[in-house]
Amino acid sequence: MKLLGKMLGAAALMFLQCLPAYAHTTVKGTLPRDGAVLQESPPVVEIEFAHAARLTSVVTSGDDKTERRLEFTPAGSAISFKIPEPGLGLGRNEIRWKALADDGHVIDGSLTIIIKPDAAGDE
Amino acid sequence: MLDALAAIMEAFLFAGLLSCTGAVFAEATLGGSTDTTRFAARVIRRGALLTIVASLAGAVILVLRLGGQFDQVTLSAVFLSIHGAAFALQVGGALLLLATVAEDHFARSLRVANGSIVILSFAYHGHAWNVGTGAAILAVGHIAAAAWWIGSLWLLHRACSGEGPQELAAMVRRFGALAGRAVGGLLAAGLILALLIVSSAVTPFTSPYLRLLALKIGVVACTLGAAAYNKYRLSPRLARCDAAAAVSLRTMIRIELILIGAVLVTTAFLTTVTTPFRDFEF
Repeated sequence: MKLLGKMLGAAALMFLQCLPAYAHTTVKGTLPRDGAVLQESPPVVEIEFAHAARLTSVVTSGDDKTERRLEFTPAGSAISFKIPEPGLGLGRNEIRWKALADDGHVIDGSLTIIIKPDAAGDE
Repeated sequence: MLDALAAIMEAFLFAGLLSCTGAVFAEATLGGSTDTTRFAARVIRRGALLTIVASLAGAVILVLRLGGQFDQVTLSAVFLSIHGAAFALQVGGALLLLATVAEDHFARSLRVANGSIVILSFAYHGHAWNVGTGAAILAVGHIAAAAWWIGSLWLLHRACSGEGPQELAAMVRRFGALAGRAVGGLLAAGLILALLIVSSAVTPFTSPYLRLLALKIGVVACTLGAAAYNKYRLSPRLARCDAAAAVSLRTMIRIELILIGAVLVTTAFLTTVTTPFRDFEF
């Protein structure tokens, strides 16, 4: 029993080492791209996945850290999703999304868009 | 945090599901006295209840992981996905099992059918679904054999103290006659499944998925070691109605169940928080 306890302890340690490393990064690209600097809020933000997924939540927060839910289309399974009129404020805006991939895994991610009226364009 | 909670709930689901369906299959194949049959009914009831509770809790946790909105978009994402199909089979099958815990022959046959419904949910579970129909069928066979093994261990554990030496020896003999094929099938299906998934995956060899898979194989090997000890050392002594062997078998079955519990927890994390299919494509 003692040996079994030690073996299970070692297995648990190996197990914990595995945990922090997992990641499900399935976004193929976004429009505007992550880190874009724009003069004004874009009319639409697009998220494109490498495989079909069901987007379930999109939240944005600005410099004041207040969170706001954003609407998106389509509502079902798709490769590409559009977030019309995100209404991003001045400064740094983070858009965080969550989705269910077709393989049943929960995936999430974020992109940052900076709104700067005096910017020359998308940097 | 929610990911870890989801994996823990998945482990509870595995424990409940494999115990209730396994007890059904074991009861149908191993026999035993009224005491063993009553104990099997108790395992089926508790396992089915745990399956329902863990399945419902798993669905709620999934909604929370998807943003916590119980709106149409999120609920349809959950219930129109493979999770929904698995959920329906798990809860529906477990409810049917609860409704047929009686001790007549017809109810026993009905229970085997209902247990099979619950097992079918594994066609939509884990990563086999993504590989193809063949892999999903293989996963169902793999889980059915695992359930029978776990259910048999529960009943044999009870029989070690509840049955006389001759009845226990007869149950161990019946278990031994089927275990070779069931465990052989379980291992063959598991290995083929692992090869199919890994060969179709894009994950590097150092990925968390493969490390957890290696850990699972290691714990399975330990479990098989314990099972081999039971078969080759304890079974001959039990056949001679050695009372001390029954005590040793009870201890060894506990060890096997603990190891199987570790396999289930590893599998829960393997299927919930890691994946072999995704790669960084941003």
